[in-house]
Amino acid sequence: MKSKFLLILFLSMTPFLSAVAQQATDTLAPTMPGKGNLVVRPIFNYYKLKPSEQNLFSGTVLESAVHFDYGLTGDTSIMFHISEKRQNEDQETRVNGFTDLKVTFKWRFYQDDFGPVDTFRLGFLAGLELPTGGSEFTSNTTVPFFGLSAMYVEGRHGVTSSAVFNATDGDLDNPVLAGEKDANHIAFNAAYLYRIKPEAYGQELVAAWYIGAEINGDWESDDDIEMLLAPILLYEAPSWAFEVTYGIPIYEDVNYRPETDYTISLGLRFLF
Amino acid sequence: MYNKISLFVLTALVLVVVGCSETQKVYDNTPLQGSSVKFYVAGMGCPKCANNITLVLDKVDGVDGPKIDMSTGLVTIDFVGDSRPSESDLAIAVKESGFTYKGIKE
Repeated sequence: MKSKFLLILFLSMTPFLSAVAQQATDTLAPTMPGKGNLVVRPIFNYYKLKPSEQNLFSGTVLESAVHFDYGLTGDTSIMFHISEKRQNEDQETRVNGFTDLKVTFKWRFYQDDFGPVDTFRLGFLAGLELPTGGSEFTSNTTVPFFGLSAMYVEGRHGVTSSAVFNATDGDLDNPVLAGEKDANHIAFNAAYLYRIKPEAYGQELVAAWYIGAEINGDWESDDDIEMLLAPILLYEAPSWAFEVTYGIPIYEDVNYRPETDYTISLGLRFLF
Repeated sequence: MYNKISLFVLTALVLVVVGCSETQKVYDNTPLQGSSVKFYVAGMGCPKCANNITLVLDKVDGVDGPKIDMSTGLVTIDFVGDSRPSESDLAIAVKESGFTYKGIKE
C-alpha cells in the first residue's frame, strides 16, 4: 500500500519533475489557441476490456468525442468536451448514449520562451463535469476537477505531463472505464514526442511529423490503478493535425472495473 | 465534499497569486513606417502553434499575410492600406497568440 502511494505521488508530481512538448493525445499541455481562435478536435477512442477480479465485464467501448477549445486571452482558454459512447459486452448487450459534458478552464501561469521553438510552460486547469449525459452514461452528480500540466520543448524534443484530480461523487450504472465509479480519480499522463521531419525548420511554415510515446495512468481511491504505454504517430500541418496511438497495459492492479486489454485512438485537430 | 471544494478553491487562489506577479514590457505606441516589418518571436513549439500568430496578426489593422520562419523566429508582415500598427500592437498580438515578442529586427 505504501509503495503504491509513493508511486502515485511520484507520478502525480511528474509535471514538476519532467515539466516538459508538442501536445500528445491524452496528456494535457499548457497550450491553448490564441485569443479568438478555436481548436476543434474530434477523437475516437476504442477500448478492448477484459474481466478483473470483481468486475466480469468483457467487451469493447467506442467513444466518439469532440473537444472545442476557444482562446480567451493568450494565456487562457475554455474547453468543452462532448462524447458519445457505445458499450458492447461480448457482442450481446449493447448500450450507447451521450456522456456528461465537461467544461474546462485552462490557464498558463508560467511561460519561458527561450528560443524560436523552445519553451517551458506550466498550466493550471479546472472544470466541471455536468450531469447532462444519457441515463446509462451519467454520474447524476456535478464533478469538479482540477490539475496541473507542464511542457518542455527544445529543438526536436518535446515532453509534456499532466495530473488531473476528479472529485467523483457518483457512479455510472455499469462503470467500465477509469473515473466512472464512485471513487475519486487521478489521471496522470506523461509523453515524449520527437520531430522526425523536418530535421530543421526553414523560412516557410511547413507540416511536421512526430513519433513518441505516452504513459497514461489512472488511480482511483478504491485502490484500482492502471498504467498504459501508448506509442504515438502525429502529423501536424499549420492548420490541422492527425494523431494515432495504440495503448497496452504496463501495470494493472484493477479489481472493481474491467482491465484494459488494449486501446486505439484516432484523432484530428483543426485550428480556426 | 466540502473538503474537496476547499482544496479546489485554495489551489486556484495560490495559482492566481503566482500568475499575477508577471510584469509586462512596454513598447512604442507610434505607428510603424515603411511597407513591411520583421520582428522576432520565441516559443513557437510546433507548426500549428505558430499558425496562431498568423490568425491573430491577420486581425490587426494594416497587416497582410504574416510569413513565419520557425528556424529563426523571424516574422515578416507587409502593410496594406493607410493604417499602420505600432510596435506595441505587434507585441500585444504576439502575446495574445500565446508567444513571446522579442523585438523588431534592426
